[in-house]
Amino acid sequence: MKRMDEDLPDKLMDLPDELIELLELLQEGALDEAGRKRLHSMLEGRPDLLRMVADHFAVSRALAHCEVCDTDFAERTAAHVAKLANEGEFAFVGQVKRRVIKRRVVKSLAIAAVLMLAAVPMALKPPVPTGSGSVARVQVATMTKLGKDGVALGSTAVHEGSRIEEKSGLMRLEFTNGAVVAVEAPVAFEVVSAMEIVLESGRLNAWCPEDAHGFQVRTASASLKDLGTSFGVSTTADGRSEFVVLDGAVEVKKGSEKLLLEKGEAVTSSKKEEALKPVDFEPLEFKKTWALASGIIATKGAVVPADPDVPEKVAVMESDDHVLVIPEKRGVIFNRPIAVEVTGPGDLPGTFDRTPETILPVPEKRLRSVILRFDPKGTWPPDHFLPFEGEVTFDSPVVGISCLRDTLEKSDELFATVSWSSRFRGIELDQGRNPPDYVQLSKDRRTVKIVFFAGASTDEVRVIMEDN
Amino acid sequence: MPDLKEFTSVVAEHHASLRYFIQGLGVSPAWVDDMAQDTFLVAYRKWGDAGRVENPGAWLRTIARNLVQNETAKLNRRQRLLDENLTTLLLNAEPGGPEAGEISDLSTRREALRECLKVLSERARGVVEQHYYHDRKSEEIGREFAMKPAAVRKMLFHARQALAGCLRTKVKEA
Repeated sequence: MKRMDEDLPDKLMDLPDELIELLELLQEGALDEAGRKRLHSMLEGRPDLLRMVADHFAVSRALAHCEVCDTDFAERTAAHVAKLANEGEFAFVGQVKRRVIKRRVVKSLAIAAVLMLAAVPMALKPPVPTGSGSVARVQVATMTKLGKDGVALGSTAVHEGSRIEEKSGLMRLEFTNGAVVAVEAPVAFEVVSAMEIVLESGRLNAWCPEDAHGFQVRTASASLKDLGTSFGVSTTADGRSEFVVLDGAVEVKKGSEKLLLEKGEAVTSSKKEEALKPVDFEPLEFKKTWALASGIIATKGAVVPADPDVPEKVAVMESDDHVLVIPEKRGVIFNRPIAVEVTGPGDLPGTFDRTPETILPVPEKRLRSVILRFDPKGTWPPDHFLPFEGEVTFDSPVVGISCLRDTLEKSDELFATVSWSSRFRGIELDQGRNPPDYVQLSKDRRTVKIVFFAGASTDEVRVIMEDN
Repeated sequence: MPDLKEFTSVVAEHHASLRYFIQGLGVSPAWVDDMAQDTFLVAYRKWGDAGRVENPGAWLRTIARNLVQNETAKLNRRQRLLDENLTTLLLNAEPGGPEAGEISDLSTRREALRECLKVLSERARGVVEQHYYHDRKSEEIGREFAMKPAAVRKMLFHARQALAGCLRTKVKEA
């Protein structure tokens, strides 16, 4: 049998190696500006070569998709296109009107301010879409700007290609694929699509569920691809960037260099240096954005978010002065009953007693949890008790709260990021001279208030909520 | 607006060749499906204006061509293109209007490509498989095959050229 690569036409044999090299480097994404100019000059005025280039791109596609079965592309695309087209060019205006009405209802019911996260659209200037294409851009996210104490200043739709610049404050973007990105101003970035952000300057944290794996953040000097994780990126306008991985793993790419980063690792990049540079993992600069990306909208009083770190370290953080909000596992499939003491709005003791109730599973839902824990660093005298009072507001409704040792231990298997062997779990409802510890869930199910009378041992509850 | 069933059949008939056509204009592989979707969206909205479309494939390629042309004018969207200057050259190479590439016509016939792959040398086929099926760069492949990265790239180029010739032959036979 004659091999095809022995049967090349003479014309092709005459192609300069330089042209071949430039074309291949271009397709590998490794061609620099000088190479691009050289390639351009070699192809200009050569329709025969341009036709060859087009064929090569087409064959590349054929090869790349040779093993991919996408037989349902037509149905998916047609249905999606019809949906977009039927929304019309003024669909966003319609959404705004609906949200204004919803806002009035919310205000009249005096529901907690955090509901504005989803309901108030007007306070923000809409992101400016780039380009002037004739095609209506697809909405890929909702952005909420948060003021002091986590009060939502307004929400707005973000379409693909939108460029956003803010001088102050915190923003939270919820993407249609479930990814959550928290951004701290001053910041400038472009939402290229539901799977890509170009960060020009500023700082962000992202958490990506399964549907958003592959989510990318590009800076002027390098890019990051999510492989199932929570990560932070900061960059300056001149391209000095830092990438830190708080959970899971990411791929960081600079030119032809690729690095797999796992939790607890960090690298920096710059335009001046050719290679990515491993650096110490110091995630504290992401304190605000990490908490927000983790679903902690606001805290008050003695309750504060734990510092950002890998899950195993966050889980065992201690503080003499605060009750820490400690994120645990996310994306837990709700496929088994869960026993909790607090199943809805109300308080313990009060509406609820120490008798656990079972929440029945809803398999199509995902859950996540946080621990609210007081755990002093040092050793205190046995009679040394202090009251800690405060509250935390979450982005999702709370499903239930485990407050006592038995329910905490049973739910450890689902949610805990480390194993616990302490005898002292949960809160105390009978503690002699001191009042009982106290837990309250607000009417909108998003704010948990606690009063712990804490001594040398830990006080803790597990708040279980819906995941995005 | 067209009937959804009718539109779905048009998408089903043309999406593959349209996506080959779009990639042939130098659109980054990761963005080809998005551009195809944008093309179908424009087509859907203009369906009523266009009257009876004699050649839906050519019409879709005209729309796609215009959208790609738009991309070259958008500073912040150029990452959708491998190189905006190259795309401009490719667009201008056939100013008379788009035509379905011969290879594009084979888009739905994967069997033809599989047949053509068989006639590559074992080494060339190995390089192609590593690059396209395992997403490996020329440097990594070079280490495995004891080749210089530039030699790997040259082999990839020649392999694709051979496959293009083989596919053209299959088109004629078909």
